[in-house]
Amino acid sequence: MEENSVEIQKKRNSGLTVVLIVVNVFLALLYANVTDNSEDQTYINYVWLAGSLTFLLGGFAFTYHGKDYRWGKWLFALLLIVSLGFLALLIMATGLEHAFHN
Amino acid sequence: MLFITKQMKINRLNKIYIVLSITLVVATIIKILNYKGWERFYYFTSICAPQNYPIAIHDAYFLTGEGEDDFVWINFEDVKNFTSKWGEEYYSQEARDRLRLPTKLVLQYASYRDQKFYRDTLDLPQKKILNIFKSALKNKTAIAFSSGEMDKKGLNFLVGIANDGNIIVWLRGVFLEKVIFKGKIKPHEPQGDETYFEKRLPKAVYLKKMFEDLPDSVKTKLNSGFDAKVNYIDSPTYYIEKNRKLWEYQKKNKYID
Repeated sequence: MEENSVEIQKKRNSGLTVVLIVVNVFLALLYANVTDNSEDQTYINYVWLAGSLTFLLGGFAFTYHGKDYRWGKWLFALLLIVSLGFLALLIMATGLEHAFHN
Repeated sequence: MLFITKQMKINRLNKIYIVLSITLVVATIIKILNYKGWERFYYFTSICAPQNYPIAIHDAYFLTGEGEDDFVWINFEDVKNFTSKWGEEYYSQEARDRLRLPTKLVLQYASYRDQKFYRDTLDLPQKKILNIFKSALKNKTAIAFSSGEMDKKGLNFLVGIANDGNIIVWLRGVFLEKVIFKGKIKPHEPQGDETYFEKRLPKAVYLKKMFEDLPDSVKTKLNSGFDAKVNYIDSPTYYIEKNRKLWEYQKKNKYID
């Protein structure tokens, strides 16, 4: 009975976490877009989206362990790769920009 | 969030995420309030001077807010090249972002004909400017600054620097020209960096350097007293008359509203 209730708590909390991840990603995007958009806003939005989602899913992956929550870990790993790819692109783009300016 | 019941113990991660949500909401509100989007408009700014009263501008910008950093440089390409004509704005106008409206005009320049230096910070009528922008956008007398796919509608600020330190500021649109400021700056002895060009120069050297590119023929003409004592500040610009045909054509062909 005790174990069962712990499991239920975990289930409820993980459900709430998923909702909060969606809410926070939405709020992060809202924060990035409330002022006027410049031309590269779409690009910035992708960075915000990937960054915030990876960060928040990281919390999920490191909090909930067990068979039922493994998808969170996989998804986190996948997003981490995507985000790092983005970061690499970003660094390359700024590097190029810098090179052009010189 | 129906599943949050009384029995539920919210774990640490969710507490952190809830705090994060609240922080993001607060940050967004602060960002909106700081940005003041409702006080922002598209506009372009430039300076004109009479052809026969060339000036060398050292500094020209609008202050747009409380902070020292809130300013907009004013285009003075024509004046710099001594090609400016009274009442004519710079031909290539662009407006990239919506900006706060100007509150003050900062000018610092030297005049060729009287060899004097002028410097002042002038207060602009903020309410009047805001009302002109609002009514121009409502009455379709705003200018469309073309930029990509976006239609950016706004107005032109044109600062006129006439002889004897007379300053005028117009706000212009389509079939719209309003004088929003008229004032006079008294000449003064230049101090500090006012004569700075690569290094601090003596007054006479600075003036010589600044008007180096003014053609000799023009200098001779001006030195002989050509067009002297004309009161440019009161001379009309014929802006609307000059552009009437163009606008009528554009309206007819639906290039503009």
